[in-house]
Amino acid sequence: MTVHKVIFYPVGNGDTSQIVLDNGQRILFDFRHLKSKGADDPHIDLNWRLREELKEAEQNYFDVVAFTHGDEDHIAGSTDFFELRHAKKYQGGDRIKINELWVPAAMILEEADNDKQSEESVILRQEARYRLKKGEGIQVFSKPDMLKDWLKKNGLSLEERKHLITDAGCCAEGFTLKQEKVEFFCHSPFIKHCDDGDDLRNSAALIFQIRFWTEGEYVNYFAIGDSTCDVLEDIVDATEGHKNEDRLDWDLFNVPHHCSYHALSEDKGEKETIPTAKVKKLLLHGQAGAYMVSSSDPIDDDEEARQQKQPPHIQAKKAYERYLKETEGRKFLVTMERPSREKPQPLVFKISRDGIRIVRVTTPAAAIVSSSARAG
Amino acid sequence: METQFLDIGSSPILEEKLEIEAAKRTIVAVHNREDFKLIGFRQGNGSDESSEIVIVDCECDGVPHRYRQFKYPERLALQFFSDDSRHAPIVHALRSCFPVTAHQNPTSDNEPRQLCLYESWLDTRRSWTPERHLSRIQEWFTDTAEGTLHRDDQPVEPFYLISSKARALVLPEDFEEKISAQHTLFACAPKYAGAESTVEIGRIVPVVRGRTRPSGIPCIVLNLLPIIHGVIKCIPSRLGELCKQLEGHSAPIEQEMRGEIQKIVGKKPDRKEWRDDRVLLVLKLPIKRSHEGKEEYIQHWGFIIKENIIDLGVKVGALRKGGKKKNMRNTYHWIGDSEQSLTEREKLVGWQRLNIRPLNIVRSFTSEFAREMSGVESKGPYGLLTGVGALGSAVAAIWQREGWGRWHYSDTDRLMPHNLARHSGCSFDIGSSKEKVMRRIEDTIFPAYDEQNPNGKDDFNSEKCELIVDVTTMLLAQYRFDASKLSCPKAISFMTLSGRDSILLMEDKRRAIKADCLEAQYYRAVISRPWGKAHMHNHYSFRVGNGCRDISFVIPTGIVMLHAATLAGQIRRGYESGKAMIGVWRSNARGRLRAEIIKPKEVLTTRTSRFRIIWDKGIQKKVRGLREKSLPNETGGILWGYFNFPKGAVYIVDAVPAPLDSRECGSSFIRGTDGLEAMQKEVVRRTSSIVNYVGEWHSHPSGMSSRPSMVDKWQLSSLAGEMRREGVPVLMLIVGEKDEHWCIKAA
Repeated sequence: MTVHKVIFYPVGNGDTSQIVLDNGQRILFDFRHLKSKGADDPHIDLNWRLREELKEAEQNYFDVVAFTHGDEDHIAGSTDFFELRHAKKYQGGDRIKINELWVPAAMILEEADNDKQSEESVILRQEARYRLKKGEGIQVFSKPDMLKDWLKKNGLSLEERKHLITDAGCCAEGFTLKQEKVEFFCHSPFIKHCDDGDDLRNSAALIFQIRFWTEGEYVNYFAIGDSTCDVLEDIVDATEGHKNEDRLDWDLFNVPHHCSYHALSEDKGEKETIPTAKVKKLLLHGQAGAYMVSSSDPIDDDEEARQQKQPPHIQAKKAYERYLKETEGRKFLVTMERPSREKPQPLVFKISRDGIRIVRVTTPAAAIVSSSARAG
Repeated sequence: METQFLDIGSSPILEEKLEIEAAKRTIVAVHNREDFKLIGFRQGNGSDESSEIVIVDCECDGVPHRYRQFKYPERLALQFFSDDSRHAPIVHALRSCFPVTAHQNPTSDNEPRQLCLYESWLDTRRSWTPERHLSRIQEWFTDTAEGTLHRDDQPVEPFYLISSKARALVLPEDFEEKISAQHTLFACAPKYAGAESTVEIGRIVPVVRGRTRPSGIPCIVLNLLPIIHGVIKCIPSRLGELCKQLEGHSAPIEQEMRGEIQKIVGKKPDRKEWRDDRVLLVLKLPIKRSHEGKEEYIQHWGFIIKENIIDLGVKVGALRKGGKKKNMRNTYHWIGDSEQSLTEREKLVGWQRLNIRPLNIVRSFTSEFAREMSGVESKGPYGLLTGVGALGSAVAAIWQREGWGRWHYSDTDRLMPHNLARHSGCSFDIGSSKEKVMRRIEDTIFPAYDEQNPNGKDDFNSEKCELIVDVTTMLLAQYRFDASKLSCPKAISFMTLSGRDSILLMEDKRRAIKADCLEAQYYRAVISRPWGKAHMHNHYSFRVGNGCRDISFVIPTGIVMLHAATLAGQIRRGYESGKAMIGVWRSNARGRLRAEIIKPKEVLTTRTSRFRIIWDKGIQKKVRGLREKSLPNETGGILWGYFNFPKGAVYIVDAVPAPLDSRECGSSFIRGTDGLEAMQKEVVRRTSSIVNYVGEWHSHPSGMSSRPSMVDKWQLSSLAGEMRREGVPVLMLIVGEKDEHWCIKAA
């Protein structure tokens, strides 16, 4: 029986998820390691957890590590965790290897003097550039003119690096439904957005529809990092334009940008965000029994939460739940709430015959994990 | 389409009305779970009136989202009983088209289905909480969807689940063969006094043609096609229902029955001859784990059809009434397949309404069944078990129940009242010989036809004997059957008089080391190992009669059983391995049982004119080593051993190194005496005076033969003179460079 897994890690308002294919290949999406603030810190110790998983699988590498974009909440701690090929100081010890790095073109192109950029994003850009120059261990998504210019500046032609670049509307190289029983259909970035300089990184973040094949049926996972409604609208337009509607279907939906209302509409709404018509279309592509996952802090339903500026937004959650119900979906889940807010655990979905299901977490006796035992 | 739910319990009640603690706690647990939602409450009805029902919707995220059998959520009724020590909580699935799956309790068609959650409620109850109950329900759904609810190590599920309290019928193992070969009848054997009337013991009654049938129930056996286990069916109450359940597993039942009925009643049956108004229907149903799997076992199901076999024959279209003439009124004819058209047969529906009553068909206990139950793989030997006293009868009882070996018992000692403390016999056996008692017990365990049961009829066939087990407590066993004529291996087993220790001396398959030699090596262990110190002492005796042998020892019965259990297992293992062994099992008051296993050494035998000197490679190695160590000087010491005059044998148990005050030089050795007296006392004590001084050994230096020198000969004569008081000869062992030489001399 073919069994794939999708794992979401409780890393607060940030993203880290992993796909473990039936053949054992591991694809990690984003990386956010938070330094522990003590025994009561609900965030997972990501470094430890991923190392444990790799140890069990007896390997010291990921087949693919995809950084959807270079924001801090998607890359934090990654330059201490991974082995980077471009400089000796990021090598050796127990660093975890990346066989293939996936980045949006923007991550190659961003300039260092941008004050928004963290130190780590600069390091990762150097790594991506190094790999692209070397011509191995990388896949870049979309090829805006700026990328062509960059290649030229580095004495390379587009033709020479074409095999390492995948455009929106195509599937990532290296995975097929026949062989690996999975394909990564790239929705974003697409050129229009990459050349638009306003909010370069978010609009150019990676968005995939990941299609798994399990005995007789497809299961679709819509993996969106950070995004906004205008990007999603463009995706719906483009996909419909190409008559690829099935590429909008989803059985598992990674709620964009930690459940921010911006991914639904410009307007937050008082009690509930009303999605734009095209985003609504995307939401209605949800299949019966589907799940939504918000990789975010817990979402409260009170006045304070409604006033909150930063995501997650309760108004957005309500909108998602409405469409989930309409499409007979199952649940809207929040990574920092499962199985408890005190000690969330990775959320593991199994994809196998008959579809997608949640793997039961066997939690140790509640008192052991709730806090450190104290005596006075 | 809206989901339809089945009704449960009586009318709805308010939450405040709930009284059962488990129901109330479950409500709290449901509030704390996001995947359960409260729907309502009901009071139980009918015989479950005092029960309370909590209706919930259960979302199970462990079920794949496209799994079609289950809904998300499923509506469930959680039923709780006021007396939870008798009733496990029941979980009913209320959806009207809830699927039939494995691990459901049998229910009728119009009742909600019941999930089977707990294998053993009384065990589960100790740590049951409502929270765990809810998780267990989800686990049931997840595992059913995954197909993993039934673990690989669990036995396959039966087709029907008949209560263990239902009427049971014990069928003889050879039942099928006899029924199908001769179309004999089945009858119920007389029961032992006190047996429950719900258990019947079947036996076969032969049919004698042309006479009134003896009172017996005609029996139809149907062989069905294998089924894949999984769904337990509701027990049918009418023949038509049964037939429907078995669709696809056999040709239509009525069709099968037609042929069988004709075979049983014979041509032109007379109804007067068939007096019993019942027919026993036995179904043989091979069960498989999966389509690819092999048949794991054959289940037998029995149903009593409440109908005379002749009338049943008419109802299913096998027989037709003879005619209207007076002398033909009770005679019937067969209906051939060609005589009756299919449509005519289809019209016969009366048989479908016949009442049937289920019977638990139970295998009778045979030695083969016994071996299966105990995990004993081989049938074991045809053997002679001599000495069936306390220990022997307990060992025998274990092998009987394990179905290992076919035993002939030998013990003419009569069973007396005091024996009942430790013997398997009963008060009505008093006065019988112990061998008879053991045969009587065997007869009451196994049916007469069993291979294991010689029934006391056949004589012991010494040529066929494969193992002699001697539990006679006599060190030199005196058999009624001349043991020397038996070439099979022997196992000698006994307990020390304190009951603390038990001993096994087991010959190898080829009998390279015989039991008497093992005995000598056992004594060596007793005198040389630390545990030997307390091995044979510390026992209490008392008189049980007025004869000089009427002495018994105080040994707790449990200790006898403990050693019997150990020995029964070890003898079986030893026989199956074919290797010789010496084993001592030492028990202590705290219940520890410690095994001392001694590896037997190869036996060496030297023949002299009067005696066979029996020693072994262990002693040889020891004296050779001592000689080497003392070179270039000579060395020596004394020999422990014992004589068996009737057998003309002397057994050497051990050779002792030179005492400290000995004088060793290149051409002579003068053995000292330091510590020897104390040592002798201890050896005699440890072996209950069996082992004692039997002679001397010394070494010769390099270049000299092992033949006795003049000094040696003089020495031997002198020692023989000293031993005259005992009336025993003296031995001398000379250890040379290449070989050893034995001398023996009597004064």
